[in-house]
Amino acid sequence: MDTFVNFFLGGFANGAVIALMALALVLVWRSSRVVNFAQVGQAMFTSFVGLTVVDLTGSWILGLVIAIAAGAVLGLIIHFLVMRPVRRADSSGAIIATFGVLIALQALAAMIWGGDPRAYPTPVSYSGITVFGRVIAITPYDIFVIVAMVILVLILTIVLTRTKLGLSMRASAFNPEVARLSGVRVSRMLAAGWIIAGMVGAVAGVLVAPTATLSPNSFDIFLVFAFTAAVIGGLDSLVGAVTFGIGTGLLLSLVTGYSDASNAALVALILLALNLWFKPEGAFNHHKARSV
Amino acid sequence: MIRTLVVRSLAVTTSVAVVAVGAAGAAQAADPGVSKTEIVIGTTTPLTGPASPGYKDVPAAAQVYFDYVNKSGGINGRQIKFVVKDDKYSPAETVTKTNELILIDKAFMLMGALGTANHLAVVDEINKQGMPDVFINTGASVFDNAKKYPTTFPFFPSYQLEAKVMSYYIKNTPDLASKKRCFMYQEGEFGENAGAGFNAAGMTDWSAQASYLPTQIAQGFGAQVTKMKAAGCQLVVFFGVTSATAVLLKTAAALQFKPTWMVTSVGSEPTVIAGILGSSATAKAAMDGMLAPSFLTPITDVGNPYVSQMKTLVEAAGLQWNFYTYYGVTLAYVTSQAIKAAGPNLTRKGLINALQTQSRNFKSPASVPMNITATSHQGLTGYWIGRYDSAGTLVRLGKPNEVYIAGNALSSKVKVGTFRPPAPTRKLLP
Repeated sequence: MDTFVNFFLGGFANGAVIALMALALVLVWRSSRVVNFAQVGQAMFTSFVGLTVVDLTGSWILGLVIAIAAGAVLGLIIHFLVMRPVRRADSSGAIIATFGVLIALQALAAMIWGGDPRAYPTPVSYSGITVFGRVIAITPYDIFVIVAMVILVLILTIVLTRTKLGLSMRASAFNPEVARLSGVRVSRMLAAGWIIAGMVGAVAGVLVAPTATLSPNSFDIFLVFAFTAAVIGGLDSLVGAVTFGIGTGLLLSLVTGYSDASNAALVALILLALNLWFKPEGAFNHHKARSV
Repeated sequence: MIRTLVVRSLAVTTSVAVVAVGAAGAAQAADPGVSKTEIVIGTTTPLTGPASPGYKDVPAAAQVYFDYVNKSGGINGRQIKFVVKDDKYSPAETVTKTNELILIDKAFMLMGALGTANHLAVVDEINKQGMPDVFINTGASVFDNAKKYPTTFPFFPSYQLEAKVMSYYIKNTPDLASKKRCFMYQEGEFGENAGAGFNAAGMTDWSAQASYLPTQIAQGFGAQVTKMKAAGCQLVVFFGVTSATAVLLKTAAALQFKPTWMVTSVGSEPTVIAGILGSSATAKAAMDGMLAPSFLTPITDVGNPYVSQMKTLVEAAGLQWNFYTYYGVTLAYVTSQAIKAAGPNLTRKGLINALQTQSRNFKSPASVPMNITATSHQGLTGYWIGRYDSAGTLVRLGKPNEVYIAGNALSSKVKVGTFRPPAPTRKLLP
């Protein structure tokens, strides 16, 4: 029982990060109908920016703030320089363009910061908490990660459902023509989607980097799991991305713990296959099935 | 008169033609990549990407040694041209880069090609070309096969042998034998080879086994550590790359899991671990008490004539003195001696013959004997065991010069012996 609880707790923080990465994918999808494969590259790049700030100033929070700002700027740059020029192409053209951006960002990061893995410090202790004399598999830093995710999801929910910006974004995503006729600047809303997604991804990157290592390729694996979570959640649904992001983290921890690591990646594939088979529109999607 | 002229000119033409044909014949017989003044040596290695930390230092240090030899007049009058290709640790890239080395750079030989899956992708072609494939940087036992791969020569002992040596040491060290032991490994050839070695040594009673995929390093090893902690592991044997060792130590520290660690010789370089853990103080604390096999004279033994001279060379070139640079210079040094031993009329066959017949005369800081014959290309035959102290130094355990060796990595049992490396050549030149 102890072990089960520990696997469960250990998977939570990882799940929170997968959830944030999935959220970033969903935000871009909602605004521009593109699956953004560059997402993990953006998160990696902004984490390096954050680490540089931490190294220079010693302030973890300042590193986070600058990383988020860099996420916004990078999202905007990608939107204007890459996505807008290819928007007239079919959707596969845009998806391939995001792959190009991913490779370019990884190469650029390697040129600036080198290929060696780097350590990202933690703002609070990264040492297991003792409960009734036993060290459990969750650290103050893991709790920090989970709390940060919850706050971010709350902010996003308020912005998207309670503000004019959110309403305009939803309107442009739902029906660009009608939105445009109603006076919504649709292209600005697309840009807003990329900016907000860039910021969310930046938070995810800065949160996960301290638990392992930061290098130009280190977040690649998160793309697989975040994509799985986002698709199962319905690609359109913020709730779905968060639910299945955390669920994926928990499942990976349990599978790795009870069987072995090679099965963990397989589980993501099986989940995705089952989902596309039985509920291709996604668990939390209110629209009809997507075309694949 | 006219007739004489015609006859004469015919004779001259014929003799010129004969000379020309003779020269062409000689050129055909000569191997690619070697001339009176130059030898081209190629290698493939990850210079970028997740596997590059540490490993990319190996060819850089080898280049430093070759530069040193070239400045001192080369080998038998030939300058060495060392061509390094980045394969990013991707076997598909290794194929492309190796083809470039063969077809474009016209390499005479390869030295230190890195990676098990990478080298498996090209080893058949290299052998078909008859190209000497000297001192590959993988410990996979599949390459230790003189019959199947007559031009391929491993250098460091195989992972199977390392696992057998670890088993022997654990069983014969009461402190360790009594501990609950667990095994964690990298999925794929690397971990499987180690697993096969433990099985061969009869060490199968693990309290828990855990594994990881190289792509999962970025997620941390929370589940693996939880599993081993729950199983009550007191001794964890780890076969993984250095960045994975660093992340494992980090996760274990977070979850206050403090077993005795025993880590593969290729995954425990302190300077690389320090880079990943953020500071050398953190790395030293995490590695304090860790056991690791090694096959070279301790890197910190600066009084040793190999270590002192190699360190001077490496540092003068602006590189960091660590296991990988030490190893890179060692590879280049032993390779240069083999080329020298092959004599002034250098051919591929001659080099292979020199390796198979004269390896016992090669000098190196290896602290175990080398076994290369026409029937066995084993390379180095064993390890010594060391323990990291609180200063981050791997301190050799056991009696002076004690080593654990096996004449055949697959079939022989591990024996305890002693070995002292012979003195280096003058000025460390071949």
